[in-house]
Amino acid sequence: MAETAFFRYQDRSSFLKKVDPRIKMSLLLIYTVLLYHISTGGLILLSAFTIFLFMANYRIKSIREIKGALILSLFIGTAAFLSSYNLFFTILAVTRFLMTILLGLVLIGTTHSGEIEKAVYWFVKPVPFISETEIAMRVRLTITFIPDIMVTAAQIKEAGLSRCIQHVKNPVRKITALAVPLLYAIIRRAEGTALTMEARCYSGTRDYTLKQFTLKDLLHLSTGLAVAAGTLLV
Amino acid sequence: MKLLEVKNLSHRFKDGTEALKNVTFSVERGEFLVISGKNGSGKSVLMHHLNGLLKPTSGRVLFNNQSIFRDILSIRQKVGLVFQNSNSQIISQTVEMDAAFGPENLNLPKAEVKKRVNSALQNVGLEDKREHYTRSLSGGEKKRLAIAGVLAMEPEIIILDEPFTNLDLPGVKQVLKKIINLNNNGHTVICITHELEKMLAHADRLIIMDSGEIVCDDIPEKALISAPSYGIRIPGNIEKENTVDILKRMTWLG
Repeated sequence: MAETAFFRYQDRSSFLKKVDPRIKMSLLLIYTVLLYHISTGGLILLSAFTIFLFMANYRIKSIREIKGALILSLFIGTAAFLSSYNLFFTILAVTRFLMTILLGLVLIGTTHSGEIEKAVYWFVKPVPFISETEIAMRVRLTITFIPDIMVTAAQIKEAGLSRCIQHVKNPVRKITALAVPLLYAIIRRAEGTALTMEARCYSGTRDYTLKQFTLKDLLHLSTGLAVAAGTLLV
Repeated sequence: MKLLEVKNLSHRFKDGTEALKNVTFSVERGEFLVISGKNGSGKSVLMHHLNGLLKPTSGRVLFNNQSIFRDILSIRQKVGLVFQNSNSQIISQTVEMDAAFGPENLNLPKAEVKKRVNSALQNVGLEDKREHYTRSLSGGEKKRLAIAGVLAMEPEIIILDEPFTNLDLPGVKQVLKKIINLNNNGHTVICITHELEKMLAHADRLIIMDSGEIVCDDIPEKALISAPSYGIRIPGNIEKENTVDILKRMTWLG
């Protein structure tokens, strides 16, 4: 059976797939910072732009896929309301959180993990005393395996339900019934992956060269920055 | 001509378990060898030794008459492993990127990587799915992608560990056809499996392992006689039927 999960690369053509990963990552960073520092008008504009990008580039197969994000927003909303007793403030907090998630999904949905690996290498290389190759590969593997971890967690949960875990009253027992096998599965998976990477000659020295920036890339960056400037001006 | 030689190979784990005991055999260039045995017989540990992923407690593995540890990276390129769990082997989000992982590790020029990836994907019939998300592939396609990832490194030997695990009938047929094609095209193939009934008819030789030792090494017709006594199921009764007739049935093709 084909596995599907939230936080996955989208295998359909899209304009954003042609944009340089370094530009996408830079704009993601700028937009995320802006989300938490712009006026309400700017937030509405940026949210509309983010939703447009998300709708155009990421397809959710069922509402269950985003259940986790929605539950987390509910927690954030509750915490924001309890700390402020202000509904407007609560809506802003939840919007900011949801837009952060959507921006992340747009990047993940339109960029190969291999391209992100190269872009991370490019960003981290000038930083002294840290291994850019290690960080780049770790980011790549994390992005690749998050959907797998979610699928595994869902399978473990289903296995628990099939053996009546829902009737257990002790919440700690419920959590450990999911967390312990999940942790074990992740460790096993990491070991297996490390072995297969070694078998395929991975030694940390890979070709990390990205193509030179072109005029088109500058145009993409300028457009992205213009949207950012627009949100600041509103 | 001997391509791969295993000489007196033993492996003892830290807890004292003897996984391999004095294993000796060789593989000829172009041969299709099947290694079988029940669970825990040491098949997979042996596979890890053939690519230098494990270091033996004693004994040696030679490739073209040279120890594999003389230039391990070159050996890992020449001896390609296809693991039992394709999911572990697939570490990229698209088919094309995953097939390119090995050649990129060899630091080949971009044009060469592209050429190899195209050829490998074409070889396994996944060229139309190059932009597909790897986790959306079927079990048979994932296995073929794992094979493509190894083919892109242009190995001389391809070793497949339990290639039919978790595959349905069409999946088994796809993978089996691919294995036979690879062998017909000159690749040396070692298939590690306990599911002999699916493919033994196409093999040149069968090695049976039990408790870390080789207990039988012969042509399939002869080796089949001892298979049931080591816990390996065969589709027939060796006391009532000729092993040649049984062997003819041991394929899921046709």
